[in-house]
Amino acid sequence: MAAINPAVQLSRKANRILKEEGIRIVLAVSALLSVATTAGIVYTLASESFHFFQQVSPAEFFLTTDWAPLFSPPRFGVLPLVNGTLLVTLVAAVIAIPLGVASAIYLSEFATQRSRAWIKPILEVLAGIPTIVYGFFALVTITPVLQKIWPQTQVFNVLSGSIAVAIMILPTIASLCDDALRSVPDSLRQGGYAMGATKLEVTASVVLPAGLSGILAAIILALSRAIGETMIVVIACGGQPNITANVFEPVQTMTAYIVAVSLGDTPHGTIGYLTIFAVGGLLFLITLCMNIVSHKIMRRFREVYE
Amino acid sequence: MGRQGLGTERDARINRHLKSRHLKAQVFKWVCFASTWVGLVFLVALLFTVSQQAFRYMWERTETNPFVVREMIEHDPSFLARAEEICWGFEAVFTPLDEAALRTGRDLRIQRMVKFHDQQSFLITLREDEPELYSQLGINPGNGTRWRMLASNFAQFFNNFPSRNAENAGIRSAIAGTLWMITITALIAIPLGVASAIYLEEYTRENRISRFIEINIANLAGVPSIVYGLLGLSLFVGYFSMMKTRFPDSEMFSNPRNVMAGALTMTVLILPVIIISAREAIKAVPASLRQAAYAVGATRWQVVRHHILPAALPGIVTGVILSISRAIGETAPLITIGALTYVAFVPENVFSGFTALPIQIYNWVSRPQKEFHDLAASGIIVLMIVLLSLNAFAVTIRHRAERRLKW
Repeated sequence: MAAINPAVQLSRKANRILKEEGIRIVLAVSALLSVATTAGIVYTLASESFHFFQQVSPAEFFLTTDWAPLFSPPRFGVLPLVNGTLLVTLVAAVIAIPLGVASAIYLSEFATQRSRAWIKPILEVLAGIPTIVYGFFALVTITPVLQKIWPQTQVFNVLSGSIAVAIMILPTIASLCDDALRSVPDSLRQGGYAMGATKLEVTASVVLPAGLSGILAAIILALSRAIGETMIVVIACGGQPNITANVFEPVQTMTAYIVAVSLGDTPHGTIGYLTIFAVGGLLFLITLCMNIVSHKIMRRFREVYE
Repeated sequence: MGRQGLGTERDARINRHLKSRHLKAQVFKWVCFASTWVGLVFLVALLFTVSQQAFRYMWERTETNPFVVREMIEHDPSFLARAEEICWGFEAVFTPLDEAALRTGRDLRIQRMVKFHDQQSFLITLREDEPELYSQLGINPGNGTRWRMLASNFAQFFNNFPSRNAENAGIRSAIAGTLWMITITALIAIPLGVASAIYLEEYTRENRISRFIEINIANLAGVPSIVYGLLGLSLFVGYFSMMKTRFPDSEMFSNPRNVMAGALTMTVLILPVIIISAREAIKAVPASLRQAAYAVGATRWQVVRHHILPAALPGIVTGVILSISRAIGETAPLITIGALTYVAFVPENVFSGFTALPIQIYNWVSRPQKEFHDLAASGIIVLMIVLLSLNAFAVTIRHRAERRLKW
C-alpha cells in the first residue's frame, strides 16, 4: 500500500472535521426551530393580545357576560365562550371517562392476547379519523337521534357535539390508561388474588389505585384535547355565545368563535382580528397548563414503576 | 353440635357473601366489555352513515313513482302514468325552482321540486324515507324505485370544481390544493423533523438545554391545532400581506392566503409529531451498533448516516406517514389562516390561493341542503380512503420491520 502524503491526509482530516462540524450546526439549527415555533406562538398570541387589551380592559374581558365584539356597541365579555367550551368538555368528560377507563380495564385485565391484538388497532383507527368527520357524524346522525329521544333538542346543541368529542377522546383515554394499568406490576395483583379477592376487588382496590396517576394524566391530556377541539363543535354546537347549562341548546365555544371570525373577512389589525388572538391566547394558556400538569403526573408515575 | 350449627350458619353466610362477590365481579367484567364495544360500535355507525350518504350521492335513485301534486292528478289523470318519462327528461321540461323554494321543499321533506315552464304546475319527488307523508297522500312509495349508478357522477365528482349546484359540484380544486399543500409540507417538515430528532438523540448530552427542548416539544404536540392556525395567520399570512402592500403590482404576492402559508402552518403543526416519533425510532436502535461503528473509527455523521438512519428508517417512515395523514385531515388551522372555501381553479404555483379537501367538506357540511351533505359524505369517503390506506401502509411497514429486525 502506497503511503499517503501527510499533507493530503491532513487536509482530508480537516475536511472531515469541517464537514462534521457543518452537519452538526445544520442539525442544531433544525432542533432550535422547534423552540422557535414555541417562541413564535407565544410572541404572536402575546403581542396581538397586548394590542387587544390596550383597547379593551381585562376586567371587561374576564368578568362581564356579554360577548358581541362585532356589534355596535361591541361587548367583550369572554365568559359565554368559556362557558360553552367548559360545558362541551364537561359533558364529553362525563361520557368518555367512564367508558375509556372501563375499556382500559377490559383491555388490560380481562381481554385475551388475541382480542387485544385487534381491539387496540381499531381504537387507533378511531384516533386517526379527522375531526371534521366526527362533526359530520354529529350533525347528520347523532342530532337526529337525540331529537327523536328528546324532542326539545335544537338542531345545533351541546349534547350532540359532546358525544362526538367523547368518541374522539375515547381512544386517547383507553389507550393511555391501558398502558398505565399494564405497568402495574403483576406481583401486586397476585398478592390480591392470594388473599382470595375477586377480579373486581383486585382491580378496584389494587390495580386502579396503583395506576391512578397514569389514569389521571391520560384524562387530563384527553380533556385538554377536548377543550382545543374545533371542527366538531363548529359543526354541531352552533354559533351563539350563550351562558347556559342546558345541553339541548346551542353554544359557541372559544374555538368556534375563532373559526366564525376567520370565515368572514376580518382585515388585519381590526378589533375583530384582535379578539381571535385574545381568545386563542386564553385557549393556549388553559391547554398548556393542563399539558404541563399531565406530563408532571406522568413523569412521577414513571419514576415509581420503571 | 352447637358449634357445628354455628359453623353451617357461618358457612352459609360466607357462601352467600361469596356468591354476591362473584356476581359483582361478573357484572363488572361485562360492564367493561360493553364499554369497549361502545367505541367499536360508534366506529361502525360512523362508517355506515358516511358510506350510506355517499352512496346516495353516487347512485342516483330513478324515480318511477313520483308524487305529483293533487291538482295535477285531478287535472290530468294520465299524468302519473307518464311520470317516469317526464321525470327522466325533467331538465328539458322543467326549470328548477330557486334556492329559497328548494329550501322550503327540504323542510317539507321533499327531495326534488321542479316547476313547469308555465310557472304554475309542480312535479315533486318525496324522499323515500318519509313513509307517513306518502301514506297521507295515498300513494305507494316503494313500488318500482330502483337504484342506478351514475358513472358520470363519479367522474364528475373528481373532475368538477365546486358549484352552487349540488349536482355539478366536484372536488377537483380541493384535491389539487391538498396535494400541493401536503407536498410542500412534506418537503419542509420531513428533513427538518428528522434532522432535529438526530441532533437531539445523537449529538446532545442529557443536560438542561436538551431537557428544556424535550419538554418544549412535548408541550407543542399538545397545543390545539387552531392555535397553530393563529400563528400561521399572524406570521405567514401577515408576511405575505406585507409583501403585497410592498409590491402591489406583483402577481406573485396577489393572494397572501396562499399554498405556501398553508404549507408552512401545517409544517409547524406536524413538526413536533415527526420529531417525537423519529426520536423514539432512533432511541430503539441498540447502542451496540453505535459502539461498533465508533470502534472502527467512524465519525459521528458516518455512524448516523450508515448505521443509525438505516436501522431507524422503518420507525421514522411510520411516524412521518402518520403525521402527514394528520396534516391531510386538519381543517381548523386552514380555516383560521383563511384558505378559501370556494375555489374554481387549480393552484398554479406555491403563491396561488387554494382550498383543501377538509375545507371543501366543511363548506358542504355547513350548508342546510341535504344534497350538499351527501356531497360532503362523498368527500369524506375520499378523505378516509386516503387516510386509512396511509395508516395501513404505516402499520405494514412497522410490522415488517418488527419481523425482519430482531435486536
